[in-house]
Amino acid sequence: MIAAASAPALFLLSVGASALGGALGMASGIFIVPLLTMVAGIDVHLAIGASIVSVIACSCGSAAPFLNERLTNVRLAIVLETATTLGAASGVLLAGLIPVPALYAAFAAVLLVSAWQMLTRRREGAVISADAPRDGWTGRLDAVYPDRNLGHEIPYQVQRLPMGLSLMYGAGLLSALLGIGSGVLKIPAMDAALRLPIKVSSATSNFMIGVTAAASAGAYFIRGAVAPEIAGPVALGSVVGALLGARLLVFVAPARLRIVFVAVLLVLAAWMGLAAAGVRGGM
Amino acid sequence: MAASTLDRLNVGLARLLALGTWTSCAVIAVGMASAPLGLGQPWGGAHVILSGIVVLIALPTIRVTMMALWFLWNGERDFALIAALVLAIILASTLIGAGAA
Repeated sequence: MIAAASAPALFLLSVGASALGGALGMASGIFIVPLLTMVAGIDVHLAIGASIVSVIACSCGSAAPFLNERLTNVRLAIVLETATTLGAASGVLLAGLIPVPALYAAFAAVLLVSAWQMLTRRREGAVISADAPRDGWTGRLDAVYPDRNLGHEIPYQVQRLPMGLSLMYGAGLLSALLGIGSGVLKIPAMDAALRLPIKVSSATSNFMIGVTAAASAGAYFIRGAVAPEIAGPVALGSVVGALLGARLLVFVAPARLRIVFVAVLLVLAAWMGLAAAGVRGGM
Repeated sequence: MAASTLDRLNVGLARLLALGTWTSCAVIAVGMASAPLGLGQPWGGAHVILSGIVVLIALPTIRVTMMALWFLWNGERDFALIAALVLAIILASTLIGAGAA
């Protein structure tokens, strides 16, 4: 089946998936595995191997502006990465044991949750502002971020770290198991548990995704699940697509794009759900 | 900790990640472009693409190493230790995961 998908086709498929995701600030990883397995007919483990490499590429490739604008909280990131990488290690061990239909079912569930998240907009929660620096270890995770609209810096405090760490463990596990960036779990963890400002949580989550993915990518690489003829064009296409996606926003109304995005997620969820139930229809 | 010191870390990490991504993407692109030309080793085909992928997979680990050294250099031993722990988990995940297959 792999021969049916040529490198240019995989490249274009990834550009499209990543441009659509990138235009809405979402990682493309969520589209890559369903497209590779259902459309290109690639083995699910090879698809996950290719996707996890493209997730690293997108995370690292887009990190610089967030870091330069001081939106990324690097101290908080390294603390949370202990949980995401541990989760990824568990995911790597589980990946070999979980039957393929169960993987498809898990993927269908993640796609549905993502569609739901797309429909319910993220709202700025009650961010705890830090007037005075807190004492102790967690106080050093607090930071300030520049708000362009207000024109000054806004201090914030990190709340409920243990709950955030547990959710991050789950995010790492899903990332390794399904070859995704796992924003589905990272973003609620950062918004709801840690109570971070939206821009800070997006930037910090994006920064962490690369390290989380690297914790499983190395193992998949040694296992032989990272095939250069698939992972190469997919990684390159995802980076190009992410760049295009950011520019696409200028030309397309976000509301319309959101509808397209949700529709694609639902179709893929149904398709993966059917595949999990044993009804496999290729294109 | 002075904000300007942390800023320097941010700028350094931004440079590392951007440079690493572009280098690996360029290598992958060369590998892909050379395949139809029928170029043999060492300039063509799968193993050029594979070396680009290796750079990509190594990049986040290099980033964590850079953070560990920066924290150590600035006397923040606890954060240096946390970064070292992340490195150890990545290494363990890679080795155990590869062995379990």
